Amino acid sequence: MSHDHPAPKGFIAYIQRWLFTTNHKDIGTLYLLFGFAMFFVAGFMSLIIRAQLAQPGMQLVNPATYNVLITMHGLTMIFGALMPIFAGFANWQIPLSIGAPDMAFPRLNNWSFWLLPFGFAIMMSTLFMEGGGPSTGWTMYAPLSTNYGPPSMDFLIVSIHILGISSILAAINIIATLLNCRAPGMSLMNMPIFSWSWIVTAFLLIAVMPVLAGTVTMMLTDRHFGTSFFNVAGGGDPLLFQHLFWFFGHPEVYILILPAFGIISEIVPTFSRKPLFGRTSMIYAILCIAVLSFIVWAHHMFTAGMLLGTMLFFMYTTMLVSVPTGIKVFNWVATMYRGALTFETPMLFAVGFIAMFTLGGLTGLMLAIAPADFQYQDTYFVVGHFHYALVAGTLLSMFAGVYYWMPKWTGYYCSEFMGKLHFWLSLISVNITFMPMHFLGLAGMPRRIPDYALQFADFNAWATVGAFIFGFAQLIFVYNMIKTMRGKTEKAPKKAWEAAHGLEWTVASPAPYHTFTNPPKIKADT
Amino acid sequence: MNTKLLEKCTTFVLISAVLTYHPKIFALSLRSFVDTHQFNMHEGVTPISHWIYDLHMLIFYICVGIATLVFVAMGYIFCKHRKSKGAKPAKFHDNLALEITWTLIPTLILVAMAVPATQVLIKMHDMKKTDVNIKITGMQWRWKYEYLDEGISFLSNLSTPQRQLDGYEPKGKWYLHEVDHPLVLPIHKKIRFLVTSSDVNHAWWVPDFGVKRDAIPGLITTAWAKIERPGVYRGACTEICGMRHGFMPVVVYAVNDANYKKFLDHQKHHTPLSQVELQNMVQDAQSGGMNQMSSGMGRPYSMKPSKSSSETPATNMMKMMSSTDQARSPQLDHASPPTSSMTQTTVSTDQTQSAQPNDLKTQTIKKTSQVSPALLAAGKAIYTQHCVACHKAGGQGMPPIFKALKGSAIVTGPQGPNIHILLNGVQGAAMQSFRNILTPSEIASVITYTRNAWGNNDQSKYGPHAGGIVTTQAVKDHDKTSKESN
Repeated sequence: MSHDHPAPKGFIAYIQRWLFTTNHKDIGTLYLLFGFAMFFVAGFMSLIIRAQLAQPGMQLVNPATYNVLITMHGLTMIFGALMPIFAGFANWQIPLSIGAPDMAFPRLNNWSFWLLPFGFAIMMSTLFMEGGGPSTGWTMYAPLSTNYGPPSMDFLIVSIHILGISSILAAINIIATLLNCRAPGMSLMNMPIFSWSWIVTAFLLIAVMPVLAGTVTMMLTDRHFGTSFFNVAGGGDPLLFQHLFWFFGHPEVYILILPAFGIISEIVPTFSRKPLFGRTSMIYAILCIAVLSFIVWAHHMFTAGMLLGTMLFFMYTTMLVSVPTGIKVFNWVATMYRGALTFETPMLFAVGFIAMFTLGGLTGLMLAIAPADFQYQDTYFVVGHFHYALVAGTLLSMFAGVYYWMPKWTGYYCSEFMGKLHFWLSLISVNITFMPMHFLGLAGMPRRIPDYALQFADFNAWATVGAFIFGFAQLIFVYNMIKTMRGKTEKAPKKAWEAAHGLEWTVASPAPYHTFTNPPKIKADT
Repeated sequence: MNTKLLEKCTTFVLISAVLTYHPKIFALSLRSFVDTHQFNMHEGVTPISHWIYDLHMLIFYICVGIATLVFVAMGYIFCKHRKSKGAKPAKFHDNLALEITWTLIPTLILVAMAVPATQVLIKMHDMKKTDVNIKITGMQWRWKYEYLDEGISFLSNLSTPQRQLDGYEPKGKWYLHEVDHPLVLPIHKKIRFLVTSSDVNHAWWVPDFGVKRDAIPGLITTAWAKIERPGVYRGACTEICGMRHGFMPVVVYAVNDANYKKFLDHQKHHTPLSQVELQNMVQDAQSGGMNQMSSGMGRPYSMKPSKSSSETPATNMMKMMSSTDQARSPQLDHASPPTSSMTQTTVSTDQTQSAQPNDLKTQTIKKTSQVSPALLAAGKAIYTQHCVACHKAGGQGMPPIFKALKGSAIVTGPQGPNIHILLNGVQGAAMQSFRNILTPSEIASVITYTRNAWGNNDQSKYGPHAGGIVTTQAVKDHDKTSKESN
């Protein structure tokens, strides 16, 4: 890849190149490969879960293993798959799209990636420990995780610390890059919208990851050093854990969706051949969502008992989130209106995202209504809701982004036929999987149960069928990616998409190892 | 082009295959599917559940409206503004008036939602003038119900046999939705629920009441309900609480006032009514003025007779319950308050060793080579109800999480540590404390069973401590000494 260093040969050199690399493109690639690998690990866990739930009865895993699986599925998807994949996009696209030669702190960048495999090695090792892995759900509520937690909880705590450090370092790097390394002439408001979504996300990360770190440290001291933060017998309060956790947890779910907004806002204008509608209000909407995310956390705890006034406050603020979110959806639709649309694979995934995310957002609005939440809370309705937001939302946006930027990363287009097949199979199966979950939840099926009453059998069977179709459809994606990376598909020009807009499309495809060593000239309208 | 053709063909073939092959059968099966499956929230039988249902439907229709608007707009754009149809892209990229419109209108819709939601929330918080007060304590993995005004309390456990879970027996109609001792409540009375926990977080939920409250140790959450119709109402624990979270259902029998008094009398005189008798009470009340049978969570079971079985829910219930009723009568154990049981469970296992010499002094251990079959049968009955899910019928457990009892050093060793674990559980492991769940005599008999089953009483193999009978007195003494040592 390198054109101005002599490329060293041999196995050791190959390892060294990836282990010691400080190049944003290399690190972006590492993040993406790691993220998608973990996506398959966590996806495999979800298929075991769905197989167990295929029909009533305990047939595949015992209840304790089931609880470990749901915990590890959640943690791995969030910290191992979604966040690293977005970090991969950030590493590749932020310097390219703002005309910077690299990230602001290349060595820090290397470290923030290489913390991840080690953090996850620790987390995964809990699966093989005596007493089983953490079995508390990803929310780790005390006292189930403290006085009653298995010994492996300690390893999970250490692992969360490592992953937290990695996220904070990556966030610092992204903020420093975006504030200091933009090409001369590019104002903040002119920054590409994907970069905007990431700078807001990075601030959220810096604000809440330390809260999580503090919370799990309190867990650790409760477990081993005789403190009683969450222990009633010692004068503590289990509810404090929930408040602390969700003060982290709610901004965290926006960390998982805001970069998706950014990716979609890049793709939709390209294939509509029309500029993004209401660019300024889109940026303010992201900021608005980020600010609101800090004052809505207790809507996860309506059933835990709180004062009427508190409940009303959190209900109103939560409902408010739907206003900026609505603006985003309406603006994407307005961007497409009177455009000249074509539906290449990235655009298919992008419009799939808009449709599915709308559904996930609307069920979110239903969940915000506190009285109704007493019936929805901790049922499959909630599971359906957040999987619409995170699988049919975030994950589809990631596929959109990969298909969109693959020509820039590898110099080759992905196969359109396989991409479309992947899209349709994913879209249909994701609905077969998660739509029945709403019905199940309303009918009375609690979440996180390994077995259920007979009346829930049919919809669960559907969901299992859908999940397996979805799982196997992803193999098409893997095959397509390998084929593209090996250069077996159509070659891409510099500007891979007819109406693509932005600095990344001014460099060659594949992007050379070093780009923008001299800052590009920014035209007034960029 | 090839792809597009393929897509269209597949869709067409799929739809036409289903619709034209047997249109009538399709329509019929769709109809019966909709009739027999619960899609929507329960309307329920309390004022709160009705308010919630109405609110839910209002918001649902608003959401459907918004989604339809977005999807119709998208569909129109996808059809009209395609490049392949010669569309030329417009140049506009801003419209302040439009953006203000779609900020203000959603805000107004939100206000329209917030007003009724606030009203309902205020009414839900009105705990004044309650007639009946029930304290509900969640524990791993059962519910404890206390009638605060009557001084009655009992535990409610899952009654579905483990063999149904493991697939050795056909699953009953109320699989995982049945308990040994249901909560019995009067209709037309304002009932206040005080929900708490003695170990980890749980949540008590009955969908038909619109009541879901987290059970959190050290905190009491409250809710109220006024049940309008007699019936059997089923729910579950909805907060992950450890291994058997999915196996702690809630069953409530709502009966009329006279029958409620009868139930209370029987409880007070330690002659509890059987579930068959309770079921008859529910039916009495339903036939007197109520013509609708409502006995469960699912619509197919509450409104219409099930198509798979010609039996009525009541007869089915009688069959199912007759066996479990004999298994165990309710305990009137006035257990220690939640906080003290929490501290007890935090006793670490190494104290077992130090407590051992004391026990040996106080215990009178009878060594017999043969234990009477009746004693073993009593122990086995308790084992089957409380232990078999983890330790399995053959005592092999599910290592490494659930230890094997067969050949275990503790079960074949001295009795002290064995009793200690049953009383206190093991911190950081799945084994829970049974101090407040089983009586000392039950603990004694279940330990006796495990010590003599599966060849555990083979003294030539396991040494002089193997086997033997654990007396109720030994358990009581151990309980006393371990409390004192705390």
